Amino acid sequence: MRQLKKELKKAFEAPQPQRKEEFLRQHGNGGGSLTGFLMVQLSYIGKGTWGMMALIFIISMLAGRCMYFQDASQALGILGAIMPFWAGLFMSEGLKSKRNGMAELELSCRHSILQVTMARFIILGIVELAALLAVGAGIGNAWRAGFVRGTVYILVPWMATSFLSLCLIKRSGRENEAWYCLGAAVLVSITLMSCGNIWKEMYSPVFFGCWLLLFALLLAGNGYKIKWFRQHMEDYLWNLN
Amino acid sequence: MAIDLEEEYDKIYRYCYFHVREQYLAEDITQETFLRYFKRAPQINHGSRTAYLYTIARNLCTDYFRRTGTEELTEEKAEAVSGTERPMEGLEDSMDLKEALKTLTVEQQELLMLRYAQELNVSEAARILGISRFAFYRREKEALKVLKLKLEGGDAQ
Repeated sequence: MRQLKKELKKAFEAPQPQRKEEFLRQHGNGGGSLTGFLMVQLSYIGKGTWGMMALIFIISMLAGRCMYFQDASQALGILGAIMPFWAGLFMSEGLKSKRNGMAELELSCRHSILQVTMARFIILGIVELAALLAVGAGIGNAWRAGFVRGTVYILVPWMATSFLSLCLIKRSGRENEAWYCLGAAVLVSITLMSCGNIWKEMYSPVFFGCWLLLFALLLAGNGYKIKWFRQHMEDYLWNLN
Repeated sequence: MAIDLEEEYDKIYRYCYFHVREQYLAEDITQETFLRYFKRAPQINHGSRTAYLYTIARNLCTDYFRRTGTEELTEEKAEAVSGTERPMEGLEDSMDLKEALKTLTVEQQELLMLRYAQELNVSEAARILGISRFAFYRREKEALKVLKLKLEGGDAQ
């Protein structure tokens, strides 16, 4: 049977096409390179966004270094409290097209709005990850908890903010999306700082299981919301057609 | 992101040739398929782009037959039209297989073509044919069984 399946491919062969090269010359490779596309999207990310990211980065470094020398265990809490603002910025920039009413215009572009949005998320995600690692290394103490634990402690507030932002955006008009992202960031940050003040042991290894569970739930929740948004984008595009 | 035009051109051409059995016509339809695809491609997500490409090609082939009032060409008619001859060297096996394939219905041939010649996965092929994965598995099994019986019957002779 395996041999039969191999022979089937030969059985359906066709004569060589005569005009393929000419067609390819005229129309090129329909999409261009991935790197070129990402570089173009990088140039479209606003200066304000880069400025805000730099500001949050500096604040994280300064606050973390101060706390490290005063109370090392608080450094992780500071990082966790600042992460929501990074997440808020990430979500706000990623959904810029929808917010500014560019979705319809981008229908006529070579790359779909879904591709453009994903490209922005990839670029911002890489930059934020690099900045996070730099902050963590700079503070030093964050990783006393171990790399895995430290990563979970920092990613949980980030994912909580993104999840909350996505829930709020789903119900909002496009003009208020940035404010909802900011609101989500403030809410998560305040909650984390309050919990940290009330419950000093929350970063101890004993409760790491709870953090892991929360991480898993938020990961699933974000995945579900992203899937919903993707479906929503396709429906939106089909309805416009 | 984008399809590999060079690779997909050969595949879509082969698919069109399977339907129309005429080289120049198959190439015309192939190029028309890509032109139409480029117009709508930004709006289609990657997962369904392949199926969309094949669907355009399929519809164009169907439109051609409707316009000209002809039915899909069989292998014999196509050879009479194009004047091609079958290659003669060492093709006993493939001739048996081609003969056996002709005994299948067009739908069965298309199913096998999409799955094994075009190397599409079951989801994509089922979507192109407009059937469920379960129906696809069932029909594939049936087609392979019939084909195998024909070939064994042919070898026994």
